[in-house]
Amino acid sequence: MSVAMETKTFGGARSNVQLDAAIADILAGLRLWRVWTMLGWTDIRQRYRRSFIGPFWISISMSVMVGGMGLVYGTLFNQDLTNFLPFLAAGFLGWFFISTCISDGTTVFVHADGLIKHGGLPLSLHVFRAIWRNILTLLHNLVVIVGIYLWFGHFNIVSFLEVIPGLALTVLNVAWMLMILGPLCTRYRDLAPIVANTMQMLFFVTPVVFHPGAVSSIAWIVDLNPLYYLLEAIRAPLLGEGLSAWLVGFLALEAIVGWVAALFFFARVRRRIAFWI
Amino acid sequence: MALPQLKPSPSQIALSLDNVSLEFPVYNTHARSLKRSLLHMTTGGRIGLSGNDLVVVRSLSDVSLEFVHGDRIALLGHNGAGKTTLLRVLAGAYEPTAGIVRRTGRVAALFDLMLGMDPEATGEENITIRAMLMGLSRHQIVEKRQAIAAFTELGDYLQMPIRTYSSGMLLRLGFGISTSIDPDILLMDEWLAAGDAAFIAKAQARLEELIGNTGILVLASHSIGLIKRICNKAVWMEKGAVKQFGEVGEVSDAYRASLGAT
Repeated sequence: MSVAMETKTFGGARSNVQLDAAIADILAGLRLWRVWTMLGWTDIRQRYRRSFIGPFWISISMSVMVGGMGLVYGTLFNQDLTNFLPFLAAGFLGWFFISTCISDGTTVFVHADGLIKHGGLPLSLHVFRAIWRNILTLLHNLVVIVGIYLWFGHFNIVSFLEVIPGLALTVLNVAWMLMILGPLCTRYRDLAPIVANTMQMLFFVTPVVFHPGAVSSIAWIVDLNPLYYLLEAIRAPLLGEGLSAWLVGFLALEAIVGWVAALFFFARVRRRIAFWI
Repeated sequence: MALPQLKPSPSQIALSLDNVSLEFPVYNTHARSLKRSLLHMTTGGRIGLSGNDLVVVRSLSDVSLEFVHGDRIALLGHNGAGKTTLLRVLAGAYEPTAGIVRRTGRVAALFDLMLGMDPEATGEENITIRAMLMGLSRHQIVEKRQAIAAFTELGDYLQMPIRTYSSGMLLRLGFGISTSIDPDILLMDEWLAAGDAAFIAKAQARLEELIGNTGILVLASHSIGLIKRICNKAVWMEKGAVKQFGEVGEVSDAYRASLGAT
């Protein structure tokens, strides 16, 4: 069968900002979902390949962490474990997802150097791969949450399901952050340790182990923390609090503004990423 | 999604470069750091080692070439003459900083046989990983799996993680997967040859069959004997520019003469 073949052209840039090429890259990346879901799963499997329990080590380490910290901080803050353990588990699950996505984002292109220099794959694919890998980790952690809920016997399936739109909103926002962070960290190699340090600091500032209400005298430290809202979109549904319309609106708006900014940024740097590796 | 095999008619397959240049920024560790950029910003670019200690390498300069169906092109030149860069531009990994590349047809690059392979995964799984990276559909992968497995002659070893393979076995696997394609344009950086004697003969036959079915071949190599056997045209690159483009015998003789002269 003979068909008219599409002619691909490279170069011939009219300006520094190639918006059409950036959009084409992202759409091509989305279309290759089979490839990045496969690569993301390969990443997870590779990590636990020779272990008997496999990826469920993710769930186990989460349980150990929640158990240990729940005991200490529960006593420290004088909290009732029935409420505190689910709170802590849901908080960790959300926090691990957000912070690992961001720290993976710093190496997203650097680690894909072989594939990038070989050509033929859209760059956005590597971002989607990193996010997918973290979604898979999150699903393993979700097992722990369900376990804790069943143990304490208050499992609200309706609110629980709201974690799906909540997570979707978080993913949409994390994705644009990685589209900016990825190229920046490829160009400036000092940024990755800066990001790692910042995330460490933010863990203590973000209400993961303490209730936001506990710091009401310095409420601004929560209100001004962008990661808090991303965390809430995952945690609130898991705790049976559901998603507030306000939070959905805020995150949707952030996603739109963020993606527009990320698109322009990506359009500017896309063709240089291969040189920066 | 079972798309029909989109095979362009031979006359459509084309590859051309129009005044293509590529300037490659090389950042040393200093230029790459944020501190340097910030210093540069705050001091208005006066302090901080010229601020421009960014080295720009012009690895392709004003390359204009046109290849059509049936061309078997050899890229000749010293190390660093721009052969690999040119191949990467043709593969779409690097975008030219000036000029345009036009490409019609499905492209395959045989640069890295081990591309994307997971050492912890089995041979069988790596066939799937690589086949998906090369853009094959699930249907095509199922179709080709048997043929690839048979070609590698690895038998039960395909169920083993490839970290347990010897380098010869890895080569068989990588070669078997990488050449199980049917591209219109094939890009190669150096001829692929290694392994034991029996495998070399088999691999050569496979490679020549692949090239025979390909519309356009671009092969960078230092072996003039090989080039004269495989190719019909040659490009002589020097310092990122095309020094000579024409019939293979003529160009390679001129290139060889220049080697003798220096």
